[in-house]
Amino acid sequence: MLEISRKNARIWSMLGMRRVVGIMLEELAGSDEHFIFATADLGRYLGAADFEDKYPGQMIDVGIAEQNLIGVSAGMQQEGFHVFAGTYATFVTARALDQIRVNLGYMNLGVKLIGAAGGLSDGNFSPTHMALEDIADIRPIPGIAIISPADGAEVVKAMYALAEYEGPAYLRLTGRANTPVIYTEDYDFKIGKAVCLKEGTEIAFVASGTIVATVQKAAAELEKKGISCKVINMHTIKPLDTQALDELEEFKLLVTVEEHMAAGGMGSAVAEYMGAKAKRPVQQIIAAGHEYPHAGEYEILLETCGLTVDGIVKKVEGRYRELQNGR
Amino acid sequence: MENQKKFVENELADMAQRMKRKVLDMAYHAGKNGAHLGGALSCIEILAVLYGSVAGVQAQNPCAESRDKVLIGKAHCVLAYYTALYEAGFISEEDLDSFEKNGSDFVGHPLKNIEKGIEYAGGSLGMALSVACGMAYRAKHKGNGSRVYVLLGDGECQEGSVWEAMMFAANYELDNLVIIIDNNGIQSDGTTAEVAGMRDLKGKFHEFGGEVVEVDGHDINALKEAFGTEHARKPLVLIAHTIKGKGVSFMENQASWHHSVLNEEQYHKAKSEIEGI
Repeated sequence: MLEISRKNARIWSMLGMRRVVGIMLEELAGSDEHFIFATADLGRYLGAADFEDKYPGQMIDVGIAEQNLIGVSAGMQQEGFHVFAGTYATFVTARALDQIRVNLGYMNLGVKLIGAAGGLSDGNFSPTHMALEDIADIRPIPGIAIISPADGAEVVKAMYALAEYEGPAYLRLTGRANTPVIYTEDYDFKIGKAVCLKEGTEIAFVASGTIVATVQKAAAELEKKGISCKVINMHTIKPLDTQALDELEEFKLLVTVEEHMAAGGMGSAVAEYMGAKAKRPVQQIIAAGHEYPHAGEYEILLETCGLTVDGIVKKVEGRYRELQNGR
Repeated sequence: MENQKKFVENELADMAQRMKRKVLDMAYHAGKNGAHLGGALSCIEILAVLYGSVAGVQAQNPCAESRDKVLIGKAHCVLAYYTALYEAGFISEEDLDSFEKNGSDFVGHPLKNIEKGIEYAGGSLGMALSVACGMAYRAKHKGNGSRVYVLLGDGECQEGSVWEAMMFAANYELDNLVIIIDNNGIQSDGTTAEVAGMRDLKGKFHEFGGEVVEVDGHDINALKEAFGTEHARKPLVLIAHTIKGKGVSFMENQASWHHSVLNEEQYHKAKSEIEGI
């Protein structure tokens, strides 16, 4: 079992989520002879360059053929393998969506999908390689869990949890190398159970992915302005932790933040649940927007989309002041 | 020995005949919903040979790890598929009679149910071969001798995912995988040649690394022989030349009978033609 420590957190941060996945693939393969890592020509990218040498027979590369990746993975899963299938987030979801519907949804085969470059992180490759609709693609399909870890340690926790999880799931990776660190010591990670990172009373932030660290900083800025903020790491987008959301009824403003299109993502999931409540805060969805951003470096794209500390503080404070004035 | 062989052949011919009767009954009773008749009648003998003789399916022990598996890609052939499962002892007459009734598990495209011999929920074309590849890979890895058979339509081979899977099957030398193409030449909108420019299916499968054999898909003896083809380190691909709507004059080679309603007059005419009256 890999230890969640300050030292490891620093290493995992430096490596970025993709390469933490590579470490975890070896970790899981080493303890389970039925473990299979399947990929569509993205083995090296997912930090698994040496995996096949170390664990012969436990890696399948189908080539650049995502539909086949899902089908083969499903067939192997049905016959008793424990399959983690990974490639780019947008290819492992949208490109093979009908295969996912039928094999993982309808037939409920417990393949674990891993999507690298969720959100904007590979945005310099243009929108073809951005994954801004992946959550919306998977979320309506019955029975597929969606997990978006906030940092490297949470990738480790999530992959241990997924190895024990029977059903199908989608693990969404965000950020590049040198990802922010949230967790430096062990903590309780359960699929479907959000983690409260900071208590507060007026504004409740709900976020998932590496953007959680940005949200923490934004919340700290708002605290300096005298606004009390709660921060929730909603690492599991499906099933949503509705209990954690039930505790937000008295807040003035609920802010969801995600690296995804505004439609259909984590914010939408929260809104679908909160909308039915008689008493609920106003919700502000902060996301990448409704358009494909022009290709560019990750940091530039985050700025363009307003997904920076300043961008978030400005939007949230603005909305909060409006609400104070009864608008 | 020769007598015994002949007996088995007659049995398979009888099985196919019973399947055809039942297919027409079920289609007729489906009433105004109609049913996929053409593509069911084209693969009767293929399924009779598979379920009656070639595939080691085990109705008494449907989850046995060593069982052979049959996956149906062109799952709109459920009429033929369900009747084959009935003949092989997986499903009951009541199951058959519930076809397309509200609440039934025996719906227009099969619901996965391993206890009932249904290994895969076919319906969305082009997906079954990938799943069959995953199963065959696993069986090979385990060395349990289990073989995987997958029935595809020729129209289904227009799906690109079929060729993704075929590359995989050849690359991983899946010699426990058998692909049968029900090559009836017709799809919903017309002939496969007109609609999609399908050419030389044999050449395509050969180039993708399969051991390819062409066979008359309505000839039980020929099918049995073709299934016995050696295919060391390669998947076996049987291109079964068939006639859509086989055995019913007004359905044969008619795209309109891909899915249609069978009225009373047509039902009786079809029944008597099938019986050779």
